[in-house]
Amino acid sequence: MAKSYDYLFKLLLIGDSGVGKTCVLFRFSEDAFNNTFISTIGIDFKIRTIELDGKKIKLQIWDTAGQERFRTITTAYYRGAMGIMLVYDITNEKSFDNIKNWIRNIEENATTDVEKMLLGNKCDATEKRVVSKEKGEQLAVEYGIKFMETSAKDSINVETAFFSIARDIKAKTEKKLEASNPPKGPGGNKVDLKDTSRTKTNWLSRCSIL
Amino acid sequence: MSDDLPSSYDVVVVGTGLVESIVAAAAARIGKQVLHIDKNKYYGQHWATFNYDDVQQWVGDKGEAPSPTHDPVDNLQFLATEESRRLVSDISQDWFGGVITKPKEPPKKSEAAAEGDAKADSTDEAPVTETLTADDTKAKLASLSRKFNIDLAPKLLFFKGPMVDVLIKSQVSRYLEFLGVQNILLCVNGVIELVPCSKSDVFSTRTVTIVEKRLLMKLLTTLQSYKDDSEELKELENSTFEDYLKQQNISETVQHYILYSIAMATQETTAAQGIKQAQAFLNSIGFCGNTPFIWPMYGTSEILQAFCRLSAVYGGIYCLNRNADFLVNVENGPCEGVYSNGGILKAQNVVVSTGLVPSCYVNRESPSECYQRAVLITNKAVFPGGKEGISLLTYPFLDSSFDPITLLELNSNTSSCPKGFFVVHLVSRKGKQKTPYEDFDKLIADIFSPSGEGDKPTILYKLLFTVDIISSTQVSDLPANVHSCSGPRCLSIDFHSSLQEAETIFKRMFPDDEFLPTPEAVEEVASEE
Repeated sequence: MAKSYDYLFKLLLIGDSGVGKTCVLFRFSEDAFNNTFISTIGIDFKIRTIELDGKKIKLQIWDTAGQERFRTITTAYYRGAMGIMLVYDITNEKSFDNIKNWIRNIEENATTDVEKMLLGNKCDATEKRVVSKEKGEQLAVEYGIKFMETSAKDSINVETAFFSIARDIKAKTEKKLEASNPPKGPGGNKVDLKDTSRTKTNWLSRCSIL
Repeated sequence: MSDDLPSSYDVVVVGTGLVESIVAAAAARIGKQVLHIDKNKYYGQHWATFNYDDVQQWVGDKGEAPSPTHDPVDNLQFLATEESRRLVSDISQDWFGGVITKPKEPPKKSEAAAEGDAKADSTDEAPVTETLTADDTKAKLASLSRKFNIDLAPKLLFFKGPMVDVLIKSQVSRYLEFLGVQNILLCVNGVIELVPCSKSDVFSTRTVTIVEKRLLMKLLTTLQSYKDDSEELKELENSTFEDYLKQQNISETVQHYILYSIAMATQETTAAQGIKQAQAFLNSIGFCGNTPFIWPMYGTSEILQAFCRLSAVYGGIYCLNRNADFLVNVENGPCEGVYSNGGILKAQNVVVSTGLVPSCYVNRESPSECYQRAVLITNKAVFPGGKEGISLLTYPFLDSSFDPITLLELNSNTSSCPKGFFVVHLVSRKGKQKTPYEDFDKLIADIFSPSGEGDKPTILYKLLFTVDIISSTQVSDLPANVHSCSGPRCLSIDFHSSLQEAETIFKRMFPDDEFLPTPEAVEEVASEE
C-alpha cells in the first residue's frame, strides 16, 4: 500500500499552561477557535497533512495533555520529536520568563538537533500586551531560533509558523538523507506494535525455514 | 493551598510506580477525576529509569527525616506515610579501568567536512580504541551522563503476553517503541551457549544431535499442548519441573535449555508451573525475531510514563515533587483522603504504593520478595557469537547453592547507553547468599575479565543494591477505599503480575466499568495545501 505522505514529522507544543497551546493546535489542525477549554482534556495529538515543494508532509502535533501545569511532562513526551513550538502569552510576563526553563527542559530531554521555534501567542490582545515584540525577538536571537507572534483567535501567523518549522525540518531531513547514502536501515530489530500482525498461529507453523 | 488544586477527587494516587500508573490511567480513562502525585521529582519510584547523574543522586540519597506526626482532628486520624527509601539497602558502586572502542565521529559537525568526505568516511577502518583508568572511566561516564538510561527494575514483555494486549487495546502503545530481544543465552559451567527457541533454531543449532532435535521438537510441542486447568496439568502440581524433564529422555543440555531458559524456572518450580511458564515463552515465539521478548526503548519507566500520559489526556492531574504526608482516616471508618502541602485532598478512593502504606497496616513478619540487583557498564557483548542487540542470559547454579541469576544485556540500540558501551542488569533472589552478592561474584568471574583476556568483556562500572519490596499481600486491614500497590517484582521477567494487580484494584473500585477500553478513533484531519 502506498503511503499517503512523503514525510511524517512529530512536533510538540511546549509552554506554560494557559498560553493557548491547544488553541494554536486547533487553529492549525481544524481552522477553528474555541476559548472554552479550561485546561486540556482529551487531546492527545492532531494531524494535518500539508504540501511543501511537491512533497506531502504529515504533521503529527502533540499537546502536553495538561502535564505542563506542575512541570510533570514525561520524558517520553519528547521522544522522537523533530520540532518544538515554544509558546508564551504576550499578556503574561511569567509565561515569557519561563521560556528559559522550558528550553532547559528541552535540552535535558529532547534530541540535540530538534528544531525549535518561539511563538508569542495572543497578539490580538494589544491592549493587554506586557511583553513587547522586541523582547520576544531578542530572546529568539539569543537561542538562535525563529520567532513569530501569533493569534489563534484571529488566525494570525499560526499557519505561517507551522509551515516555517516544517520547511526547516524538511531541509534538515533531506540533508541527512543525502549525507547517509545509502540511507541507514532502522537501528536494531524495531518492533511496531501497531503494524505487526499478532493473530494466533501455531508454534510449528510460524517457522519459515526447515 | 498555594497551588489551586481541586480539593476533592474520585481517586488520589500516591506514587508513580507501574501499578499506580496503570490504575491512574484506567480510572481517568472512564472519566473519573484523578490526582496523581509523587514525592520524587521523577516518575517511577523503584521503577525509575535514570541517566548516569541521576543514578549518582539516587545512590547518594540517604532518605529523609522520619515522617512527621499530626494529632487527630475531630474524628480524623493522620497516619504517616512511610518512606519507601529504606526498602533499598547494601548499595555500593565502583569504577574500573578498561579498553573501550570509540565510536566513529559522524562528520556532520563541521559543514565543510560533511560536503566532500561523507563517502570517504564510510569506508571500513580499524576501530579506534581508548584505554581508560578507573578515574578516566568515572569522568567519561559523567561526561556522557545523558546518553545513559539505566533501569532500577528492567523488565521485558512477552510479544503475545497480556501487557502487550493491554497496550494495544488502550492505544498506550502509540507512546512507546520496542526492540526485539535477539539472543537467549544460557551459561553453564562457565560456557555461554545460544538456546535454540524457534523451530528454525532447533534445526540449525550445532549443540544438539539430530536424534535430540527430534526429541526436543516433540517435547516443545507436548509442552504447548497442555490445556489450562486440565487434569493432566493438575497431576503435575506435586512434582518439580526438573523431575518432569528428567523423565523425557532428553540430554542434560536440553533439559537445561528448557528448565532455565525457556521456562525460566528454578529447581523448586513445580511441573505445572514450569509448563505454564514454558507455554508463555513458546506462544510468543516467531513474531519478532527468534525470541519471544520485546524491550521498551529508553527503559521500563517509559511504560509507566505512557500510562501517565493516557491518564493526563483524560484529565488526570499530575504533580511530582509533592508528598502526601499522611493518610487521613475517619476513626474506624473509611479514608477521607491524603494530607499534602498543609491541606487535605479528599478522595473517594486512595491508591498508594505499598512502600508508603502507614506502618500499622504492614506485616513485616510475613515473607517478602527480596532481590539483589547489579547494574554493570561494560565494553563488549557477553556473547560475541550472537546477533547484535539485546541478550537475555540465565546463569543457573547446578548444585542449587543459589537460585539462577538473570542477566539482561542492552546495547546502544536500546538508548540505554552510548555507542561502545553495554548496560548489563543482574537480578537474583536474595536468600541463599551468606554474604551479599556472592552469587554475582561467581557469575562475574565466569563471564567478565578485568584485563579482557579471552575476548571477555570488562566491567567499567558496577552498582549493587538490594531491594525488599513490600508486596500487597503483606498489607492488611486497610480501610476498604484504600488500595495498595506492590513495587516491581523483579524475579519475574515480565509485567504480568503488576498488570493483574492494577486490574484487580480497578475492578474493586469500579466493578461495572471496562478496564482500559479502546479510545474512539483518532480523527485525522487531512487537508491539502
